[in-house]
Parts: sequence; structure tokens; C-alpha cells
Amino acid sequence: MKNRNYRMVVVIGSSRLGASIASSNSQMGVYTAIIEKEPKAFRKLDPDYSGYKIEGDGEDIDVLEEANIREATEIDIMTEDDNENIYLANLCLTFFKAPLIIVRLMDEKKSVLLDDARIRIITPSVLSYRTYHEIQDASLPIPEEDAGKKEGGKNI
Amino acid sequence: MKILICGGKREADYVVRSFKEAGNHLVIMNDDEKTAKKLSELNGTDVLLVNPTKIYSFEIADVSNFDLVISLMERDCDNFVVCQLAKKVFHIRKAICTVNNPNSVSLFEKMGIDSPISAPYLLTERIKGESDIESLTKTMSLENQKIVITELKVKKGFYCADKDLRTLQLPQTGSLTCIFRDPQVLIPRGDTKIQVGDTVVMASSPDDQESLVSFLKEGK
Repeated sequence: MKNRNYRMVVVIGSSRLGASIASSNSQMGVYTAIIEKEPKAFRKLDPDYSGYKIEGDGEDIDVLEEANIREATEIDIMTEDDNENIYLANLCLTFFKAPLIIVRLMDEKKSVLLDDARIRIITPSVLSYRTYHEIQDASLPIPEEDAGKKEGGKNI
Repeated sequence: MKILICGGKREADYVVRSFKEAGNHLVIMNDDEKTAKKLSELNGTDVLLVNPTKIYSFEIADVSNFDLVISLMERDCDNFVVCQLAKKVFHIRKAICTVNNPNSVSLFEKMGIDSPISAPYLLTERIKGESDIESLTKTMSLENQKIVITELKVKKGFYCADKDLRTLQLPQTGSLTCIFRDPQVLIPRGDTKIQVGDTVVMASSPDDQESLVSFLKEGK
């Protein structure tokens, strides 16, 4: 299984998250390409990002091809628009064989449109909610006696 | 038929009107307040002011198991989401949508949208169907349409181009009566060569006109 070591990542959308993912992969020496419509958004990349930057609309197959997406082992769909991400994910699923497609989705209900074994979903709202509870749990005083309230108290 | 119509501006008005006249049960969603109001006033129907790409909009609209969804949203990806929600989650039988990027038509089809429609795509398909628009034949009929005179501009790639009449072997059903090669008018003989840019004039019966034109263009 030597091929397991070969990784090639294509990121679509240079959002904060997209740019960070591209930057970190590139830093780890992974072959990385990032696609973005708005060239200004490339500013979010690390200054020492050494992967490919492709300016263009990810909905255009030619632009995706330019990023060598047929060879990708992972496609990360990270634009700031749910519908665009859903469309792109289905496009990649139908036309490219990357074994892993990671999609950011704000509205978790729409995950029904991304039902496939190759697709994994990141839902910021769910993650934020979890983090909130972790913070809250960690900062709550250990209840010695139950004060009678069902919901946790405030941290003062 | 039970039809859900999502998004769109002027085209939505047209679609709503024609389907309503035909006596269909319509549910209309639009996310633009002005358009929604106008659609409702013009057609005397309720219009839901919601974002048609959201699941809750479909739930409010109560459109499960409808026969057809027509999505006229501005962005291709929004149309895709509307159609997918309609089919996968709400079991609407058929999905039709507009596609702005003509290159995406075949992509939409492969991704399971029944009928993606793109105006430029339709336009070019239509033109392809017409006999090349630039070499359109002009026709004139004599003797109560028993004889037709056909005028054809010879374009590059035509079978008859750069051939003399003897080698061309025009079918017996027609006669090449005249060639206009600006500014000359030539009466063709066996050794007359047809050139690109010539306008050839033929006489034939109306029934044979089509086969003559296709012979000159394609050799059959």
C-alpha cells in the first residue's frame, strides 16, 4: 500500500477555512492546489504557501481540470455558500474519483443532499455548539449540592 | 398537474400564467419581495415569500409528491439544490430548471436533473438544426409552385466546392442554370468549376429541392 502515502489535495474556495487547510497541507509537503473566483481572497493564504493558486469558478469543469483534480486524493469544498458547496460536491462526486470529498455546510439539514460514502461533512454550527458546551462544562463549578435547577448555572 | 414554481422574475410570471390557464394546481415560491408581490398581483395567486433552497420552505409549502418542479433561480447551484431537494427529499416526480452556463447542461443531466434548460444552449442547438444560417437558400416558385428556383451560397467545405460540373454529376432531377460570381453571371458548362463564394441557381421540382441542396452540400 505504498500509494497510501501519496496525497494530493484540491481546495475549492479560499475562505478562512479553505485557505488554512490549503496552507497547512502545503506546509506538510502535500501537493496542494486552491481554486478561488475572487483573487483577493488568496491573501488569506499563508505567506509561504507554495501550492498552486487557480483563479476561476469552481463550477467550471475546465477550471477544476486546471487544478489537476482528476489526480486528487482529497477534494475540500470550502466556499462560503452552502448551495454552491452542495453543487460542487455533487459535481466532483459524479465526474472525479477522489476517494475523499470534504464539504463545509452551514445548514446541517441540507446534508441529505450529500449522502455518499466518499463525502464527509464539516458543520461549523454543530462544532461551535459542541465547543460551547465543552467550554461551559469546563468552567462550571463542580456541583456539591444540586441547587434545584435543571439547567446548568452561569459561570460568574 | 401539481406544479411547484421556484424563483424567477419575468419568466416566472409567464410560466405561472400559462400553467394556471391550463388549469394546474400551482404553488409558487419566490425569495424576492418585489417579484413575489408582483407575481401575486398579476396572477391572483398566493406566492410564498421564502428562500426556495431551504428545506423548511418546502415543508411550509406542503409540496410532497407533486408532479413537477420548475426552478428559475438566478444561480445554477441554487437551481441544482432546489431540484435535488424536490426529488430526493420531497419526492416530486420531475425537475426542470434553467441553467445559466450552457456548458453545465450536460453536467446537470448527468447529475440527475431531468430537464436543464439554457437559453444560449437552446439557441445554438436550434441554429445547428437550421440549414447553416449563413448559406440559407432562397427560393422562388414558378408555374403555381410546380417549378422552384433555388439560390444557394457555396461555403467552404461544401461537396460541390472546387468541382467542375462534369465531375460533380448533379442528379438528373435538377438543373444548375446559373452561377453568380460577383460581378459576373456565368452560364455553367461541363468544365465550369464551382468556387467558394459563388451563388448557384438551380431549377427543379419542389419535391427534389431538398435532395439537390443536400447533394451540393454533402454529396448525397
